[in-house]
Amino acid sequence: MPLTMSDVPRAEVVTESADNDLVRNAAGGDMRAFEILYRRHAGRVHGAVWRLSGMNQARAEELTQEAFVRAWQKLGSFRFESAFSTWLHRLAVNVALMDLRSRDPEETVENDVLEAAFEPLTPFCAGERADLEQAVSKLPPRARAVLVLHDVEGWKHEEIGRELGMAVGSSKAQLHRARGLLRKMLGEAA
Amino acid sequence: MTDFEIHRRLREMNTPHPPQNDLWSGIAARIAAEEALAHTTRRRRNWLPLAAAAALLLAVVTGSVMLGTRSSEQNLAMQAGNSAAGGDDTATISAQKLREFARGTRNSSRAPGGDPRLVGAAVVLDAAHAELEQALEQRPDAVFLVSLLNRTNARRMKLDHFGANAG
Repeated sequence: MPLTMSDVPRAEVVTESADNDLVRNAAGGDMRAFEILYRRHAGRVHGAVWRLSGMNQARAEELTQEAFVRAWQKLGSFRFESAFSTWLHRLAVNVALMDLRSRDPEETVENDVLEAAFEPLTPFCAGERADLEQAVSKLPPRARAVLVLHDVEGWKHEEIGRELGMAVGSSKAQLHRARGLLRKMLGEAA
Repeated sequence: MTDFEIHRRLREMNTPHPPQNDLWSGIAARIAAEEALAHTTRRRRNWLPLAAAAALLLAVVTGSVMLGTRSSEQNLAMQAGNSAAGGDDTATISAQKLREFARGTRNSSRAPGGDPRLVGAAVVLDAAHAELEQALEQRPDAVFLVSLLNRTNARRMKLDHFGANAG
């Protein structure tokens, strides 16, 4: 019988040790333990891949599924050296970045250029979160990934460059570009 | 909106965002499917070492028998020559016997029933027969050697019979 959100504790009271117990059970093949882990962490995992996918609901759900399937497969390699939530979040971000990298680089560049050059920058009502999310979703994929990883997730440019296969300077340039586009989209309405 | 304000709002975006649909059933189904696939793959992999080992063993046996046929003929001929030339009485096998064996080996190594697949087995049995005869000469009272010789002969006859039927 599937669990509901009310069956599991709220995120505030989720403890690392409880997670670790569940991870041990799940690594031993206990699917119910893994389902509890899913219920506990689905929101954070989905949030990360949702932002990286440009707030694309369908894509984010596919990536969330992929992240949890991979987590199940890799549970045996989890060494309990960090919090499970950290490990899982990082794994989910990597799944989203792999999806981004799997696109044809030439196509991505072309799309970036086209989007930046021709897409009208519709002004938003600044100050509302939904508007900010919409503005972020309008960014070219790579610029958005750098912006989300740096300004939302708090990654360093070195990490971003390594994961996205670009130089540190390119990461900085993409961030500068993304912020400029955001400022333009949000600022014009302010 | 200032850069500072944009940056602050971006940081505030780092909050959980649950999926609109319950994804668990899909995740569980995918895990079950991949586990089943992995199980099948593991079972296939378990057969691979056995199959490889069997193939290797077959190749080694076949190779050694083929090489043994050639080298035994050469060695026997050489030993026979040495023995005859040196008049070595301590030789375990007489030159006469070795020549007979070499001749016998060549003759009997013809495939039983003309089936080349039986050459290796025929050579092995003939060599065993020769060794047993030699051992029996040294220990004529050894009943177990007679028993072994009879069994070897029976197998050689069976091989001939098999070859004749196969041909």
